[in-house]
Amino acid sequence: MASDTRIEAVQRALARLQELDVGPLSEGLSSPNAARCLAAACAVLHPEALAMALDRPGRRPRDLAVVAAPGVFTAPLEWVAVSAAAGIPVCLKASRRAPRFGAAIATAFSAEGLEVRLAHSHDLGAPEVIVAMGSDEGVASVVATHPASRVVALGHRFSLAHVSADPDATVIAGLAADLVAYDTRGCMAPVAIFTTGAASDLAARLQARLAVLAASVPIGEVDPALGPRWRHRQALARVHGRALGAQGASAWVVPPEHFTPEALPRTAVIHEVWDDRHLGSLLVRWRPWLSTLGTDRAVPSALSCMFGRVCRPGEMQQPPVPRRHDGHDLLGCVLDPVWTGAPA
Amino acid sequence: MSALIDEIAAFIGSGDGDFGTLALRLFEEQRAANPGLAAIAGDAAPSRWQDIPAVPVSLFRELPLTCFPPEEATVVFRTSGTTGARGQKRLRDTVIYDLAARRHAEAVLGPLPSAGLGLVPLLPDSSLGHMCAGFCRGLQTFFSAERGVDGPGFRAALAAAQEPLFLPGTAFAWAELVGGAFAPVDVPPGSVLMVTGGFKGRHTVVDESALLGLLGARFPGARLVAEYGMTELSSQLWSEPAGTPYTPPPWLGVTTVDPWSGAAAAQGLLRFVDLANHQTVMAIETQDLGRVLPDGRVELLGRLPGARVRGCSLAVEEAGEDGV
Repeated sequence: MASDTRIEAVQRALARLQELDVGPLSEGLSSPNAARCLAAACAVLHPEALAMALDRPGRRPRDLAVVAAPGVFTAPLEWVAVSAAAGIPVCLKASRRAPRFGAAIATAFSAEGLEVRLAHSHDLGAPEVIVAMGSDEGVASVVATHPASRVVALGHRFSLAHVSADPDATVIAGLAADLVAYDTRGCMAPVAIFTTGAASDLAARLQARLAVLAASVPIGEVDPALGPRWRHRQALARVHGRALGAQGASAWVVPPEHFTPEALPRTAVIHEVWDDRHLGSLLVRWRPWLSTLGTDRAVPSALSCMFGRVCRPGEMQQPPVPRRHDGHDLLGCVLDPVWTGAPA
Repeated sequence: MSALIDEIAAFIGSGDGDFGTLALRLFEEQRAANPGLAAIAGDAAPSRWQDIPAVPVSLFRELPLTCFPPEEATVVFRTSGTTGARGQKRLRDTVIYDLAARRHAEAVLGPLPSAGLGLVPLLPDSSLGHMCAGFCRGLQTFFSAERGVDGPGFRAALAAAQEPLFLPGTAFAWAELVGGAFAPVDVPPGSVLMVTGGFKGRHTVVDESALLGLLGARFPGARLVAEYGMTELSSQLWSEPAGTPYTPPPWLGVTTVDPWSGAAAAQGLLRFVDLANHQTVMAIETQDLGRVLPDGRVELLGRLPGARVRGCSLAVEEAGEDGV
């Protein structure tokens, strides 16, 4: 199958997926939210994007396994789509919490003649390359049990937003959309929002927008273990700052010294900082784990270089293709690193 | 608040008074005296004790939560923990604490033996050690944070005992003691063996019924009881015989809530409203699951999965790891 033909097949496979009611396949998101998230994940995998992603020199591996982590049900999709478009046979090990969406991916891509299959156990065989998402322990386990494979490790990261003193309505809407997508799960969800303006004003506007979205895009099932954490941090916000709203649409103002890199469902945690230097000093210790910065500002390079990606609010949970995932190019990282021949 | 404390003491001592009324009054007095609680409670206006805003137990790691200037504390109990800050409960005195502990223990268990051998930490910051030492003034412990369980010493002391003993220990320490080659040893008739704490997050996990079976076999003649308590509370629940549901004292209200929403539920996270916690916050939300039976006793259903590990047994395991 030629490259263009495979890209067309991928488009048809993505269309098949979007015909499904993915709510029940999405690790507990409401159906409207799951459909929005899937549509956004598919939208960036358009033919031109895939063609650009494939434009990488190097020998393509004979096969590839993708080990998905729980949380963001669409996370393996971009890896499967790009690899399938590249003609690389893919074995997908779905998250235990979302096995049905993994099966749906395999079914949709297989139906279009693309070599994508679902792993039904931890045994991935001996693929040439494994893309492993998840905790450090999980990735280490994959490395230990597959010594013959080259493993591309995608560990846990977290993301932030940093907005101007008086952000316009599109920024507020964008931040709210980033918080609502996947119910704030995943490494690209904003765990905190920093501002040099009045945090209370930002909290009020953001909470109002979250409340509006809650009506049309309801929150889904939440990990019960997050309840005590949510109440703990809400209590701290009440003691040290301000807490607006209720579960499902809340915005808290907390002094920056209480910054915690922990996302809570549809909860905007806002910290007031003096300036970019102040923010940078707060983030230094977290630098290895920083993923995405959502901002409406022209941030200095000293700050932006701490992140893998800088984007506008509203785009945090919708990374473009091609892109670097935690520094790894989507296709480039699976190509033979020592190959010196002609482009594939 | 002193008049109210006198009323609480009377309620604990003799049952005089109404729990719900006392609880609502104490909440209002605590809110007035405790700035942290006032902020957390906001404009809540409970009309029933069940609606008193509960403070997540984890907040004791981050806030003083006292109804007096924290620097006036004369006793500080600390929670166990391997990482991060340990929770602290500061008290000006332990008068009500001690009264409540003994009163309920004896109500459920009867008079306690006056001599004791334990596997609990007898440290000034251990509420468990404080409680056990209060029950039994001559309590001798065979556990230390540095060395773990002293099995031979414990056995020798048991063999030499002539009078009924109070034998308190954490579940993990008991498991360590009897999990190996510990031969059965007779204990003096009338002895009471107490188990407390769990195994969640520990390297060694023994099913509760299996542990009780082992203890029954290794200590024939001892009456097995179980205690449920935590540093942040001032009252305890007792299971007698061990393995049956836990009995709360009359001054401790118990409810269960849905773990995520915090709304009342038939079973879920345990919340306690503890009149004996008059110096800190009376209403506490734990990370333990359970349900309240129609007779008022409490069935424990383990820890909320994914919740941060804590508890008395942790100190024992930490010591074991350090000792290796």
